Formats: sequence, structure tokens, C-alpha cells
Amino acid sequence: MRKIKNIFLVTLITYLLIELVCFVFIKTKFKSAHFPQFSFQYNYTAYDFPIAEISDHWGTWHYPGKYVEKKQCFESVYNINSYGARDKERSRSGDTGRIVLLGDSFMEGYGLNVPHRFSDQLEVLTQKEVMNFACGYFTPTQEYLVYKHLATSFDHNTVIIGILPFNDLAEDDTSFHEQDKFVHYQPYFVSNGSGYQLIYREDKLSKSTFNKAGYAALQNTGKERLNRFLKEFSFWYNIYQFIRTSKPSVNKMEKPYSGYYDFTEAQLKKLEFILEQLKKTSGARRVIVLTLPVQNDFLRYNGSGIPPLADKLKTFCMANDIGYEDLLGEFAKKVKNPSELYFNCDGHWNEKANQMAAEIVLHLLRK
Amino acid sequence: MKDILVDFWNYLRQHKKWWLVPLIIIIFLVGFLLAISGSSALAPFIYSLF
Repeated sequence: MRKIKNIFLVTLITYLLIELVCFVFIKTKFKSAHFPQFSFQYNYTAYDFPIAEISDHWGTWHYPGKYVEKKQCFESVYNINSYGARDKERSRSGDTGRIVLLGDSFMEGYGLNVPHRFSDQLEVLTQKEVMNFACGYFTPTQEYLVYKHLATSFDHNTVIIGILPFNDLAEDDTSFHEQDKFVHYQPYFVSNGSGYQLIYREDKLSKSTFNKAGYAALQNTGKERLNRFLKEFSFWYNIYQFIRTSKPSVNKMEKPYSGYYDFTEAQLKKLEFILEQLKKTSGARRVIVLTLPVQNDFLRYNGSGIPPLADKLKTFCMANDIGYEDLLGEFAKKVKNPSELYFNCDGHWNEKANQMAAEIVLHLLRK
Repeated sequence: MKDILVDFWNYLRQHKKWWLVPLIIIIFLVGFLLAISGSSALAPFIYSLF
């Protein structure tokens, strides 16, 4: 009996010490690892994320309503309006000087609350309505389609599209999502020899499982429940997951991946095609393309000159009467340490980067 | 390395110093985590961006 008691005590003390050490490391060294919330979420009851595949035309979009996205370094409220944009209600008719904003999570303002996002700050600076149609997970194809099928019904005279070279080029391809745990209804432009053809990964939206029902089915398996329990009630598991997912990806590369440098010619051609379609659909309206950097891009940027992707897009945009600004070069001029521009627990832009981007775009709009 | 661990295990068994087990595990864990966090391998981490 005494032996069992001793084993139990030693095991308990060991576990508590491991947890203490892992807590200290998450707080100080592995800030990007998930921080357990110690809340009983492991019995899945509700879909607590606003994004799902719910649009017939462009797939991924927001469920209307209010949601909270929480991480170690931010707590962000998502207020989704009646037509599914993370924006306040906008009337379809209005001042013709309004701006439509397209993009992914960076333009949507992931991790930020409403007054601090790029679109909010640009609205204050320009004194014009900036209508945010960005959505997390979007690819340039989806950004074009949401413009064509939704945003064009709102009066405006300027379109701004934010391209994230880090993932927008690679994810806008049928090879992406092949290993995904969800069945996706995602639109892609695929080359058919003479041009591009719009296809969808599944032929019907109803086949997608990236939605409330699909998420519930996936999250209610025993494995996922255990995973969620450990994630929310232990520090060691989050460090284990962080190391497991981070290390192999980095070890494969001598240099960190940067879409500014590592894109392929086929990816560039497709992006140019999508931008051409956007320009055509916009009619006589002004179109501005922004390229948005992540921290990895700064590691590859030598501080001067133009990265190859920015150089090619600049030439393309000039030839097609499209405005262009690369924010990697602009940000690099303004800050010595790029980490000042990003959340310390997540790779998205913080408030400072959004403000800086809004000021740069204001300058561009006044040209 | 294996010999050291075997010797250490024998020492724990013979002298019944089981309270040393948590300390040794923690020393190894801290060493491992320091080595990982200090290496450049994890510095430019791959993060999920939407």
C-alpha cells in the first residue's frame, strides 16, 4: 500500500513539475503555442467560428452574427453583418466615392477589433466608406468572385485587393486541400491550354463538410474530444503539438518560404489572369493591388531593391491601368524590427501594421 | 549514455531515492526545451494564416 502511495506521489509531483515548466516555456519562449483556457469545451456543443463554406459562388464566407476569436495575445470580436461581411451594415446605394476592400484574413483584420483594422483606419483617414468584403481563407479567385457576385451591387468607385504572397499563390490551386480533413467546395481557375476555366472542387455546395454540421461531426469523435481536452487542460500537450508541427516544416528548408521569391511562373500567370478579370468586372473604377508581407518575407528581403514577385506585378499592373503598392518594401523602410508589426502569438498583422498600411494606401489614393 | 542511465536507475532502486525521479525528468525536459527554443530551427516558425 505504501509503495502504491509513493508511486502515486512521485507521478503526481513529476506531472505538476512538467506542467509548470511547460507553462513557463509557453509564456516566454513558445508564445505561438496554444495557451490552455481550462474551460470545458471538450464536449463539443457549438460551432464557435464564423467562417464556413456557405456560398454557391465563392464557397467560404461568414455566418451572420457575433463571434469571439481568442488567443494568448488578443481577443477579437467578429460582428458579421446581414450579407455575411465582417463589416457594419452598408446600403447598396450610397456615395459613389466608396471603396471596396477584398482580401483574406489580413484585410479582414484577424485578431483585431473594429476600430483598429486596416479598413476602419482607412475609412477614418479618407473620410470615405471602406466596405470590407475580405474573409479568412480566401484565395484571389474567391476575392474576385465575391466582388463579381456581391460587392459590385454596392456603389463604389475604387477596389483595393490585398494579396498575401505567403499563401495566396499556393492555395489557389487544386492540389491544395487534397489532404484536408474537410471536404471542400472551393472554386479554382485551372488552365485549359488557351485560357482558364472556373471549376469547383466539389460539384455541389451541399457536399462540403467545412460548415457547422461537418465541423460537429468531426469534433465529436473520441480522438478529437481527447485532443481538445488535452489542448485546453494541459501545457505539455500544447508544447508537444507546437514542436511537432513547427520543426519538420522548417527543417525541410534552408531558407524560410517566401511567396515573394518562391512563386512559380504558373502561379503568377494565374494571379495576373484573376487581376485582369477583376479589372474588367470593375469597369472604369480604380483598382489597386497591394502585396502584404508576413515575417518570413522580411527574412528573405535584403532591405533594398524589389522582390521578384513585386517587380513582375508592378510591370503587369502598369500595363493594365491598375495601381500597385508592395507593402514589404514600404514596411521595411519604416521599421527596423519587423516583429513590431505582428502579434507575438500569431503571424497576422497587429494594429500598428494596419495603421501603417492605411497611411501608405491613403498616400496612394491621393496620387 | 545508456550506462549512466542504467547506473542511475540501479542507484535509485538500491537506495530508494524515488524523490529524485521528478528532478531528473525536469532537468532533462528543461534542457531539451532550452535547446529547441534556442535553435534557429524554430525561430522562423511556420504559422497558420488564413
